[in-house]
Amino acid sequence: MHRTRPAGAIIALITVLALMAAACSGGRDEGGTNTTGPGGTAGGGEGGFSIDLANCESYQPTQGVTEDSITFGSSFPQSGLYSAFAKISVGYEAYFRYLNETQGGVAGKKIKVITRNDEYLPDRTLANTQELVQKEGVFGMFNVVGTPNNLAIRDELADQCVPNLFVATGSPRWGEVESYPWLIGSIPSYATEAAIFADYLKKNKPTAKVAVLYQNDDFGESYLTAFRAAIEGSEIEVVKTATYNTTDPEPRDQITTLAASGADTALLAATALKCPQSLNLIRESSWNPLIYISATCTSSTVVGLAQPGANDGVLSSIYLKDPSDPQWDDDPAMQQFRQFGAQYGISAEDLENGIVGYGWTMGALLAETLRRSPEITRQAVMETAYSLKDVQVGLLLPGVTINTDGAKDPFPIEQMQIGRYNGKYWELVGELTSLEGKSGQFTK
Amino acid sequence: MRRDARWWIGRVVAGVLLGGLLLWLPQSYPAFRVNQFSLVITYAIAALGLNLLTGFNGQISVGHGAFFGVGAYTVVILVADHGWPHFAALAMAMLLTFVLGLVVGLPALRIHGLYLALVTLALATVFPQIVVRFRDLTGGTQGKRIPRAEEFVAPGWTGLANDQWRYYVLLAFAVVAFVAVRNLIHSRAGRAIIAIRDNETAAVTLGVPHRAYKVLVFGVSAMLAGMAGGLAKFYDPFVSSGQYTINLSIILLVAVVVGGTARILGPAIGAFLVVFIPIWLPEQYPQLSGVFFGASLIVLMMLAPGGILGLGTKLRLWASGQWRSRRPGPTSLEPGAVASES
Repeated sequence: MHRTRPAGAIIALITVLALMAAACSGGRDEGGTNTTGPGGTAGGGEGGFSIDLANCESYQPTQGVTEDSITFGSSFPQSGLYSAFAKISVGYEAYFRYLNETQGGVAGKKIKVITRNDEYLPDRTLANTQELVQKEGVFGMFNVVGTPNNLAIRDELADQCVPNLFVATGSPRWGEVESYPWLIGSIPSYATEAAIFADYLKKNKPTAKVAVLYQNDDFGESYLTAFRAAIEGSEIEVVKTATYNTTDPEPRDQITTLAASGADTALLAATALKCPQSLNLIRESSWNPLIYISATCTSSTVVGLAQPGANDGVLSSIYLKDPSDPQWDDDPAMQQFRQFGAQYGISAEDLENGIVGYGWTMGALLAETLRRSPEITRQAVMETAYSLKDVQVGLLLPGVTINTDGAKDPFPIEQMQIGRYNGKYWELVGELTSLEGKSGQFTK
Repeated sequence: MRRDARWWIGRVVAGVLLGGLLLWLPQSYPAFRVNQFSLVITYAIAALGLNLLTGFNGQISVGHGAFFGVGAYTVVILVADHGWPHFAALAMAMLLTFVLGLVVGLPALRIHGLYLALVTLALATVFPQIVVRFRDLTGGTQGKRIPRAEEFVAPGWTGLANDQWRYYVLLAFAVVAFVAVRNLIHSRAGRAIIAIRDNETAAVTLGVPHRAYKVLVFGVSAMLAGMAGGLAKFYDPFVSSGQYTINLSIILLVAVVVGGTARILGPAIGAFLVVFIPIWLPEQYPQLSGVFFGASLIVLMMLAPGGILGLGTKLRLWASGQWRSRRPGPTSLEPGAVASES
């Protein structure tokens, strides 16, 4: 039996209408105001790299740029398991405030960043990016966190010819400049890092027997593949490998297996909580290898989670000045970071955090790229980003300079130094190693 | 009861307005917003399936996010790696999730209530791990994408932008799905499904083949979730292991309850709310977004314990002064009997 419910249906409809009206604002505006047809390439940055606009679905060279400002968008986890990455934005937002207030931004334009929370979910990153580009009208994306997240947005941004600058992930896939000239990486690729550790071993432990623990995905495999390529022809050998899944509670069995292999060196291509867990498990066993951990774990908030003693003497690769390291107390760049960082919104606790220092450095890198760009158009800025010469900004270690040259040299940071953790900060060991222009060769 | 003229006028007016609104939306909003509407449609279809199972048949599932994920992965893998057309891949996704639903439905014959919820919970938790385990097939944590050239795009003759075309295609699927489920519920089979929810023993006594019905409903419900997942890949061509977690299963369950359990249109309204409430919430405190979302749901459920559609009925009854005297009948389509299933 059916009951009559005209009012029910109407009330439901009114509810939906009201919600729709509340949800949305503004009409559909097809086509931008300053769209130019696809076509010719204007003279680019200082180098020879140029981007062909023929493949652009629609090219809007100066969206997001006004008389006195240039607006970027960013998407990263601000809540949930990965929200530690949100600290990066603390660094660059303070840098932009400092730059805007003391120097009026770059070329008279203040730099603004609109951020969105994606909780590390790629579909949310995509939705956020679409909103930022279409509704907020940003010039480009900046420092989007996460490899899958950037993979989710890179095709669309490439087709619309929107810059995706200095992404906060080290996947070797960011070297695919031929197909994706609108995305550029920032941190050293994981492959670069593994090669630098191999280089350290060749010099200091030329007959090392290495056990590798790696995350069962592209991230972990990048290390293993590159490390194997880098030790070819040397007497170093990989004697045992073990993998874990990100969903595993802890890599206990894997560490037991590796410990039994008789290796004297451990390469831990692990990240987040798995780093301190692995260090603790090794400490608990009777195994006493030389340990290398991924540079993604070097933040004191991660490596500091290991039990006292478990992280002593652990090695990793460093390319930024550690704010906790007293040797930089008199360093002008560090003093600038401390003084203006505190003045423009970084808390005392965050000033000691390496990941905030990374954000500060990325802010400086973006500003420098805009400064060097012959004009503020999407094409010119992207071409400049891929033609950087000898850029030394923010908290980069002495000797680390950023050089890029399109597909020939796509990775901005390729010099690193081995650091040894002493329980408080990373002590620099040996010489800076440079793989400038060579990172690509370790990817496969 | 005879349907009077008012009933028909109300229906027609509501239908025309709602239809017009749904058709007009993509003409008026920018592409990113249209994509959010498309997301609402996919959630609505998945929640429709879950509602059929939970609301009408009384079987609780906290694992529908996994069926959604299977549908999504099936479409992406078949289109990206095997060059299937989108619609063929979607059909395969539906077939696959239907069979999977039958398999999961089998233990449901012996397991009831909370225990069934636990079994489906395991399904939701295991799915992302399976994705990572079979990384060569699925792309693992890095994800997999339908190549740009093979994405689902608007044919030239439509004159529509891709986002608009995708929305209309999804809407067409949703309309068919909603009408089909509505007809099912109002059929003989539908009455059997509801009878099993309200009193399984009595239904069996009356000769309802309850085992077949329960398993089939599970299959159809899973198929709808799989279809929704597959359709989602028409406008968002990327999958990765972090996407289809227990969270999605819970979101779908929330959509059913908020919209109104055992109401045909309930899932659509619930889906709209679970997508847009987080978007309306203030951006200044992203760390608190989960808290705000939860709090708004609590407020909503206090104001409208029967869901948004239940609120409509309540208001109407209150207006006609029948509120106190109302009691749901044994074969009522309304919720109320769901929670008290023994």
